[in-house]
Amino acid sequence: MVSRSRKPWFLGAIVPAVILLFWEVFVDIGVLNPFFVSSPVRIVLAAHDQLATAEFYRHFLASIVSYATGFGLAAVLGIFLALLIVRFKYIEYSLEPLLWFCYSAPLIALFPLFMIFLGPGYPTVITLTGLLGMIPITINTVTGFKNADRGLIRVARSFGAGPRDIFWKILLPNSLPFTVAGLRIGAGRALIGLVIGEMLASSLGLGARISYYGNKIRTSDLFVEVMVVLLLGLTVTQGLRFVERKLERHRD
Amino acid sequence: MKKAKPSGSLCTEKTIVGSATVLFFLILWQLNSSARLIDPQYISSPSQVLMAGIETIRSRAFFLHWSVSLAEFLVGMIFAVLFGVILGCVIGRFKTASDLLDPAIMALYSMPRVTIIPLIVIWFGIGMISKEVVVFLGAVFPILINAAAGIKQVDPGIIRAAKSFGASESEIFSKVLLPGAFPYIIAGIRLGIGRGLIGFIIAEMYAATKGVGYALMDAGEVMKTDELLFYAATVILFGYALIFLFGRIEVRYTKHLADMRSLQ
Amino acid sequence: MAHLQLEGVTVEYQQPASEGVFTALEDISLDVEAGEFITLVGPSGCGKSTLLLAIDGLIPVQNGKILINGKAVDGPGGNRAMVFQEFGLLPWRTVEENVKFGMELRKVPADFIPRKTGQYIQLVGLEGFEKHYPHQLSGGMRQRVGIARALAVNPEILLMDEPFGALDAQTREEMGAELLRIWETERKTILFVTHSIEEAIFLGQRVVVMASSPGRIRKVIEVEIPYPRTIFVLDSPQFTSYKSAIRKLMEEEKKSRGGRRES
Repeated sequence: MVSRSRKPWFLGAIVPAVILLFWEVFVDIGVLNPFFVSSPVRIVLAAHDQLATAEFYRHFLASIVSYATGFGLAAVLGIFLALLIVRFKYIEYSLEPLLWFCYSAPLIALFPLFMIFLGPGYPTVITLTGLLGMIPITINTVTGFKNADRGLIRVARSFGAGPRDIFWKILLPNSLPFTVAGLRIGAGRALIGLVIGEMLASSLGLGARISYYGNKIRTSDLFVEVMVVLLLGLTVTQGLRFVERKLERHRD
Repeated sequence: MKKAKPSGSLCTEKTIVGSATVLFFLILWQLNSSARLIDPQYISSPSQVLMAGIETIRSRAFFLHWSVSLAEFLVGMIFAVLFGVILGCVIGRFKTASDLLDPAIMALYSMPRVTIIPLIVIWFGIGMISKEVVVFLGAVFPILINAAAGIKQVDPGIIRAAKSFGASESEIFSKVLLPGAFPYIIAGIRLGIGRGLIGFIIAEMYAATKGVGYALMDAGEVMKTDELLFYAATVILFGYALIFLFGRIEVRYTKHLADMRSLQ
Repeated sequence: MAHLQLEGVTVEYQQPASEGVFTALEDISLDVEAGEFITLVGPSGCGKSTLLLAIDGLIPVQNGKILINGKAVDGPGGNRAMVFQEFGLLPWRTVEENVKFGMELRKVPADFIPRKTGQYIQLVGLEGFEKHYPHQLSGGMRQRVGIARALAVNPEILLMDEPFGALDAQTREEMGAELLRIWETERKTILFVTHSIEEAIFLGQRVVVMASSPGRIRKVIEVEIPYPRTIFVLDSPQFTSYKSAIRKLMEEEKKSRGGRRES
């Protein structure tokens, strides 16, 4: 069967375009109440207004700072922990089951505890961001190390490679794509942590704004904030995907 | 090399050492309440947590909150499974549906659901319905995407064989496609459960009058650490148990998919 | 009247990139008697698999007729069953359940199914493996399941599309001998498609040599080696002469096709 290489790209755009169109039309003709559902045009206008205020950038910056700090910590601590697990068998045995547990268990339930310990604002937000982001990073890095090709290690040994050589020349490069994948997943989770933390425990930041607009039922502004968060997440994950792809090219 | 995934065997060396470590820390924690290294007001102790827990059970608050949360979770999940599997099968079977809907679905999937919780509360209020919607939205996408992928990967050779034996379209669906996609659907449900759980917990923390999420925030506000920890423990254990269970179901149904080509 | 009659069968495909029409099979005419073992051999693209699919009623025929017992073929039916190169087994069903699969689809009455299942599993030599899953079996064993499944629906004609193509050389030989043994027991009409000239001669009573571009019958060769045939037959001078005859035909075709391409 000859595959159709020229798949019409616009087919995929039909559904969203139609939805946007109906949304705007239904609001304008009065079927839907813009107070509750806003509309594409109103959202664009609200965005225009928001982006002109200093307040928006204050919150945006606060989120960026929290996100960068939290995710940065997650990356550093996550990879460090992974290296410890890989290096020391005892640490692996005691921590790894716990790690897998944390990956699937809803740790978010501990959030109110963070609030008690750290109080509202940056500390809680950054901690939550970091915690949620760290786990996939650690797990993926560990997997990456374990995934090393046995045959390759055997070959290196036969050429006289010691454990240091094997670590730096085989294990590390091999685990890199896994780590980057872990960073990508971690970035997504960290973002969720950021938004939750700000929504529930802060007055500063995009999440806090979402909560604020939610309470005041300022739907259009709410949508704008949501879009900003979305774009932020997309930028980071797509950027990391790009790095991943670059690394893949070198592998095979 | 021992596999580390939770869906592997139950009693590996690692689980034993891991559990021992947890036990060790629990004991340290309990001892802390007498040694007072960290102010027990902040972190409580296992015995106090247990006692606070018993109190909530006695006062029926535990059942009140958990029944609400469970109901929200189950309703949302059931709708997600029904809708996700059916729509996923349609997308998997019919290429035009796939072409039309795939990009939109992928776009919605990558959106962090937490951000729209306030919107959903605006639309559906702070009662149970908004939480059910959040659970639904969280769970439906992995189920849908996995169901579609599962259907698409069914070996066309099997479909051709079935056709040569005279299978009708519905027989192909029920005897070939659905069983073939089943492991993927289970995987999707497992992922959906994880997302659904987080969904209702956060939604309850954000805006609710009942439910474990609300109970957690409530306990936090008045610094009732032991009660908080008790509820948190039940939530975490419940969530983990569910996901673990589905992981094992998944493994059981994937055994027969062991690489066919390896024996050629 | 021959069991299976092909009269001027032509199959064409509409090319997707508007390259016009591709003729997979042109004017195929052949008569097959009941209980005959016919092999079809030819290069890739000569349409031999397409012919089987057409006889099975899975693809439409643009011209000509396919008649079984005098009646035209119209879609897949109870008098034929097919065995596939990639086996087509359901990985989530046991050997037993896979053999039942064909009977379920053909609506064989439930009372008959257990007995027939046991009967054919035994015939293909898989007793003791009823509860095994395909991934636990070797390639040869998986194909035996495919054969059992096809035989269990009691077809008049067995269509086999390179059934041993995915197996290693040694298993192929064993399976070939097995197939002949099964044929001598069940005596179905068999159409067997293969790439291998040796296999075609070893198994068949008549070998249909096909050519490609367009797919057509080049020649039908009678193999006058008596049954039962052992693998020692492969070294006999008679066998070798059939082999070189067919090879010569295929080489000629290759040359003339090459010539046609240059023009």
